[in-house]
Amino acid sequence: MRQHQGRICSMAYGYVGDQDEALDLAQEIFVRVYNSLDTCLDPDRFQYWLTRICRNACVDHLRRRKVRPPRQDIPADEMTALRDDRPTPEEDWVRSSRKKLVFRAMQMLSDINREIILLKDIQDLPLEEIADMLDVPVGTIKSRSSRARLELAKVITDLNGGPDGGGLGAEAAS
Amino acid sequence: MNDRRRREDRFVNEVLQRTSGSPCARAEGLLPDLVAHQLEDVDRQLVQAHLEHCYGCRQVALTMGWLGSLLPGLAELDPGPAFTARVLARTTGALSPAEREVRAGGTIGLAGLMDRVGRWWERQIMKPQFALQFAYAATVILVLLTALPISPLRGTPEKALEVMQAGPGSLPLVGQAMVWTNVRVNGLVARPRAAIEEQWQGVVEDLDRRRQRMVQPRQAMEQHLGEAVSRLSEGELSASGYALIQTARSGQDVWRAWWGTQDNRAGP
Repeated sequence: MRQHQGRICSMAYGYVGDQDEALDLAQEIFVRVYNSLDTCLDPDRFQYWLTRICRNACVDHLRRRKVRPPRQDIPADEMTALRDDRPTPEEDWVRSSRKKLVFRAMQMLSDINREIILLKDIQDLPLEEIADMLDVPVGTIKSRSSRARLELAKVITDLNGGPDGGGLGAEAAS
Repeated sequence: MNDRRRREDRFVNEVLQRTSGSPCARAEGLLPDLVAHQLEDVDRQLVQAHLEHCYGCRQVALTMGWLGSLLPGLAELDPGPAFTARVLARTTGALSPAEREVRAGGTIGLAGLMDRVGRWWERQIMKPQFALQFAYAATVILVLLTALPISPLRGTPEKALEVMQAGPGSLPLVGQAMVWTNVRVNGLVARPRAAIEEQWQGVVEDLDRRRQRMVQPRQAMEQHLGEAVSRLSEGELSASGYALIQTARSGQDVWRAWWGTQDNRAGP
């Protein structure tokens, strides 16, 4: 469980955009995994099976949330514990701010683009698995991937105070 | 001639393709490939030329640049040390009774129904609005039950008030019950008291017996000790030493007298 919990929590956070909600959801996911372990017929594909359960649980959760939205929206800017290397406090701050910004911006993407970013760019899953999970052709994932990242970049730029950007993206072009 | 014409047409088409339409839309379409270093030189130069003059597209390009290195680092989120314990508590033996019941498929029969009703009631009564409404409804029902002329409980509050003023013993049944209870309580209290007193008497008698047994050896010990001191003052060291040994033996006799053990010493 410890081996997979970080990834599941991150995925849940990517879907719901709120850390506390994501941790509760991750807990539910692990309980669900525990209860349905006997349905994992191929141990070699456990990772895929786990990701699929996680994705289904997150989508279910979002669907329920749409039907009965929370009383107030909590901004997704409370993430405190993302794993990363922290060379200097300034870099740490920039990196941490960017992470918050990314997760916040992901909530504003279309469902399919958000899932592609989550599953391909963040979780680095094989295209075939993503296509199977989302029930779309592999070609669609390929063609949408660039557009999804572009959409994310545009939303981040907007959130970051328009094209000016507040300095978070000013030095990092490669 | 035709070849030359075809090459010119293709050149014009390519130039038109790369320069017509909205420049921003065209640049945005190429940005992912620019960031991934997958653009042909011509396109790269065109996009870079656009970025030099378009601030918005430049910021989007910069964002795409750092996104590429940041996104893989978001694959894991540390949920904190308590997370594992919480999940294990829910999936192993540390389940709450309600959860265990749910996982076991629920209790069946009347007991299960009562359990479910009980839990439902606990949840409901904790809601302030429900509690207030319930209290209001209960008061109305109580008033109706005790005030309606046809109610069998009519007059009960007055009777209750009388009982409270006169004490519970004024009720015949309650009075009998109180007498019976007092007898039982006194019986229960009296029994251990007698037992304790009997035991205490035994302790006192035992102490007295020990004291009696100790009288003689204690006198002997005092006598030997006095002799040892007097011999020592007269300078007779060997006689004093012998008296001290006798004192020690008497001390042993005192010890045995207290515990009631026999003297197994050999010799005189």
